[in-house]
Amino acid sequence: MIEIRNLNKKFDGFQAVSDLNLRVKTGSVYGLFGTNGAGKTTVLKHIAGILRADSGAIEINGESVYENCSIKGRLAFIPDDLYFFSACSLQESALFYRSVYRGWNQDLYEEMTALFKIDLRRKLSKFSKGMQKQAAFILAISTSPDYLILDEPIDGLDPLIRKLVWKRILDGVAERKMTVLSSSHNLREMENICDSMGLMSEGRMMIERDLNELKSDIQKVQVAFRNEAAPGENRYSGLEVMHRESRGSIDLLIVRNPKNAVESSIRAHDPILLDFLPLSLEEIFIYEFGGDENAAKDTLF
Amino acid sequence: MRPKTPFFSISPVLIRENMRRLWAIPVFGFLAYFFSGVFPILMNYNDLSRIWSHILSSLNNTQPFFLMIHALIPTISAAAIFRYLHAAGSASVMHAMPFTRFTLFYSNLASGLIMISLPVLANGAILLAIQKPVEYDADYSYQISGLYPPSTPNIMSTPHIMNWVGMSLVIVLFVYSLCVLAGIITGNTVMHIMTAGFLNFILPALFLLLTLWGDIFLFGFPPAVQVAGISSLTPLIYVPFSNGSPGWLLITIYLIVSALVCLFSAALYAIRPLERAGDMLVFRPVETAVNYLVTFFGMSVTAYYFYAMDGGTEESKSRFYIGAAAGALIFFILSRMLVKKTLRVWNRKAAAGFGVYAIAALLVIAGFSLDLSGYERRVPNPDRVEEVGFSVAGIVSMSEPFAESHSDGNNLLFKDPGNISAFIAFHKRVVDNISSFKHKERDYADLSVNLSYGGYSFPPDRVWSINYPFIREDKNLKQIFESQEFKSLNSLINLETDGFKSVTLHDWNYSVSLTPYQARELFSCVDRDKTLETWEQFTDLTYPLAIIETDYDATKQDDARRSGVSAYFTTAIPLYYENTVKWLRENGYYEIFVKEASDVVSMTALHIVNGAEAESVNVTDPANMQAVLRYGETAPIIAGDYWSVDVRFGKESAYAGSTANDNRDIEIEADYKEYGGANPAASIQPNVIIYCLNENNPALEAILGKAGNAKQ
Repeated sequence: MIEIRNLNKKFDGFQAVSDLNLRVKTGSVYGLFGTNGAGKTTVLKHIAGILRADSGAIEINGESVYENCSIKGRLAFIPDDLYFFSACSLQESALFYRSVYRGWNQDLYEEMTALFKIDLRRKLSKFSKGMQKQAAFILAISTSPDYLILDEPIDGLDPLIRKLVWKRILDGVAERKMTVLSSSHNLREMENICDSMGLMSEGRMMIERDLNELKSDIQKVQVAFRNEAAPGENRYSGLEVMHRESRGSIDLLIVRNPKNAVESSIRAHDPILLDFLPLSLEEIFIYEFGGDENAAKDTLF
Repeated sequence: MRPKTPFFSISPVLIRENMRRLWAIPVFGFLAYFFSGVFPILMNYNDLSRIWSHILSSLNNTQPFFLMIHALIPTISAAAIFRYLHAAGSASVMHAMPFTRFTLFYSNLASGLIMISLPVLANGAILLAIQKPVEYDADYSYQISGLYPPSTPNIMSTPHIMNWVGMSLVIVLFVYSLCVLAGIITGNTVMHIMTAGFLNFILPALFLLLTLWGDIFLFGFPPAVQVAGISSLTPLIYVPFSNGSPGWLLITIYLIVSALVCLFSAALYAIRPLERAGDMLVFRPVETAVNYLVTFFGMSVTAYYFYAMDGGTEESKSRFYIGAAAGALIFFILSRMLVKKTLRVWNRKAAAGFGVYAIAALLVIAGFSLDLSGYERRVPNPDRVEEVGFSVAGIVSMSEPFAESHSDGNNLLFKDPGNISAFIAFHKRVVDNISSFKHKERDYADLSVNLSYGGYSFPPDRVWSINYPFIREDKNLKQIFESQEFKSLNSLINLETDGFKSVTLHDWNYSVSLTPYQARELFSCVDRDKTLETWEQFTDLTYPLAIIETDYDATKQDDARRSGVSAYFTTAIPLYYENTVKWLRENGYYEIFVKEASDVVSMTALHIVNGAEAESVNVTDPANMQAVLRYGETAPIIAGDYWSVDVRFGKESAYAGSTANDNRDIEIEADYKEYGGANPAASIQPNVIIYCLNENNPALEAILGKAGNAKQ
């Protein structure tokens, strides 16, 4: 399990991360969201043992990550800003990684190079950004990491390769209980992959939840009644309405209640229409922060 | 739970990877050393004596290409190896790998050490393999090329080659350690290379600046040309300066400093804020230090520029202060722009920083200008002085150290307690008159007086510019000059030589050579006259009859170290040297050099006032002419007011003396051959002498007071 407790980090007087807490369960996929400058990369670099915290603890399975080679040997980090040794091909880089990481899996490496169809002898610095990202994935996955830390992993990859990459990652999660922590701007893509997620804003963790729990807690419903409500009557009393929008006689509600509770509460007023609509992760976050007019929308998009 | 991190660990994998990627650097280093040092030796392998100077300079590390490579390879190596620290991506990837920071640092450090050592070791191995005895040309070595002769005749022996390998390793290690430190404290590669150069030369530069400040403000402070002291602060300069032999103490210091710099770099690496990759400098205190150092350098240079532009006098100091203020402000802002990577650097924080600097700078300036340390007025306690080194140079010179054992290379060394007391009394008299030396009332000719105290480390040497009348009137210097100790030190008997290579008598018109036998006779006379010479005679500026110019073998045969090395000295023959003049008369040389009015074709006296001709007098009266020839002086005492007399001698008489000598030269040349001397044939110089007449000169009274001169 990856755990951060009360992490603080200042850069030249700027508080990049403030009292941040984060928990990633072993064998799960965690999505870390936030706008540019929210502090996602800083958190990931702390988890990868690159940066030293001003205060707080960053632990993997109860052990501090910083300067801990045994943990770092089981962890792979793919930064947004990629780096390979100058004038090295993928083959040469693989030789280095093989001698550094004990978990190097040569079969996996060969399988992945065949899958991604990468020229093994060409200098990596000559590759396009997307190709470099694929190379980074091949190297990282081939180390058979127990912990995979990804910073904006799908930027620069075409949709086909994205699928391929996520498939490989999820295979690792399924087969080896690999723990994945990935930062992203793209909520839509991540919501199908993540088990849990955290939203950061201005160095703080705004919300951190299990995705299923989050989705089961918030409902998007479309409701219409035969008659208008009597003065003083509230047909949604007993429900925690996060957002309400009326179009003619139809109300669109975002409600933080379990589905059963919502259904029974509204049916008690005999609606002519009650539909549960699909709710995207993007909407959940927007309404969780108080609706689309709220500044929280800017936090995300 | 935080794991324990070992302070020292190395990853062979990282070293191997570095060598695999950066192999071109040691290869380039090897080829650079090879083609600039070994290749010319191979090309001349049949006759290495032709390139003895190349071999000697290469193995002494005085060869410029070797020095460039010594500086370049460590800088390139450190820049290439630690480049990953200077970009966010590379720093992240490297530090995410399963290495501790110490492992990364020491593995990269070791990679660089291999890269800088291999080229030296490989070239050393080749030199050892191809070595064969090569002898050097001692005379050429010492006199012309400036190369100090080695201790053995064979300059390509195993010890010489091993010395080159060892010294080269010391240099590259020292330079490399500072380049590594530069890499750790900087945030990008350009800044890394700039800082590496800065760190390698900062100590000599600071030392130079401090001596410059002392030179400007403290009367008697040794000038900023103490090359040995300054250059010893880095082996890159000092190893060549010391002809490849800086001594074990300095070598040990260089190695210890290199090791300490590496340990310090390791400690800094452990706390390096990786998030600042890409910035100019990654540690805030270093930014402040660089900001202030650059400001101090800029302030000093600007202040000195203003000061020098105004003539560099006591009165120019106001310009120095203006320059210092302007330089401080300009360079504070410029250096802040550099370290902050922005043009918008002037804010409240910067103003406060500049205020702190300004206060510190004011204290430094006040410390120097008011001599708060009391340097100028400090006179040593005579009881603690064991030895005094002394020399005077200028229009009167008292510095000819005939014997190394009686000099420190520049000064004669005095040990007599009476003379030591006299020197200290002279020192005190100078101190009491400092104000008059600083604020010159008249434009007197100055003499450079060098005084050092042996056995008394503080205060250091004094180098004063003191006017000629002050020196001439000094009773203490008179006592010293006329003492038995000085006469003994000044004797030609002290010459450590096996023989003279050539001895020439000359003035501005004629030059004649003497046989070795004649030379010994003449020196015996000169020695007797020097013993009888008084201080007043010595400091008299009257033109000497002739000059003796001597080229001699500087060592005795039992000193193999400098066997065959030439040395050179001149000494004047004033007319009051009775024994010498008598010898010249007896040997027929007096008539050649004595100046008679009948030899003069024309004589024009110009009154020079403040560098311009104020009046002119044609001297035509033979008696007046004779007075000028008899009392004419060698130099003006007051630069702004003296007479210059242009005397043209008859062509016929000039050649007459020389022609008479020509026949004798053939015999002399044959005599010198056994000493291996140069051709001592006489040479004819232009037959014009310019005499000076200072105030109260009897000749001046004659010119201006008597008839027969045509005033213009």
